[in-house]
Amino acid sequence: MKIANQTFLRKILGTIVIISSFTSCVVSMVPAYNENLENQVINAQKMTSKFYSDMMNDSANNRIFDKYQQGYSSIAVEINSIKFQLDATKKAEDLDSSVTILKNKWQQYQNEHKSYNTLSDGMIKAYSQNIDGFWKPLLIEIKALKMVKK
Amino acid sequence: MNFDINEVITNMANAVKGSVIEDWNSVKGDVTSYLNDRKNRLDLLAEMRISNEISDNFLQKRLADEKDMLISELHSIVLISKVIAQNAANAAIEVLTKAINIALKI
Repeated sequence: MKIANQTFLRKILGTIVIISSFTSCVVSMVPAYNENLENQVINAQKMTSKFYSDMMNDSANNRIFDKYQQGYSSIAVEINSIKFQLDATKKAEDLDSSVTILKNKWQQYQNEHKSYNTLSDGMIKAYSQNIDGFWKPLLIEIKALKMVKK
Repeated sequence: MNFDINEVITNMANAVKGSVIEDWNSVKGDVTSYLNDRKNRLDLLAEMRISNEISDNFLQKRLADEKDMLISELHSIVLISKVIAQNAANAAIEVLTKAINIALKI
């Protein structure tokens, strides 16, 4: 009787192992870490930081929107590229939400500059610190993916 | 055949606990830094408004930014939670698989 039970248990366990090996029994809720994407985010954040730093070093009269329009567009291209990659990545909905918020905010800041035409030191400081606040969650999300154990 | 389900369950629970503690320790600094960043931003905005460097209308727009930033931060916390849960679940599954393999002498 005991031998029959052991054989039965062995069959059950064997079935579990076989099913596990066929279905690669691992839980997967997030995308894989992407080093290129992390570098792109770091570089794009540096671009925004330099953008506002250059603006701050410019005289108040020279901070007109037209002069900086190209800079806004270059950074928007980088953000769009990051979003494009995340749109095509499975299980990346949280990352995608963060980059969408960032993208909309960058567009808003551009529109505000256009309507003010020029920016004061205080406005530049506020924009610079706030856009960093939008980059940070995205970078933390990408870095968190490094923690995924194989 | 040596398969003690109580021992395996205990080992699985320990694996989950160890995994969660290890992962949380490596990200808690990032998560708590959100609070410090917010404090610094609001401090600067208040200072600039008091010294009249920025208008009230501009201040209101930047305060509205904080709401969107919080949403983005919450998304990052959700993702971190998923990573921690995923690692913990896989650590538990690994313990179970190893115990089964030992029992089967694979």
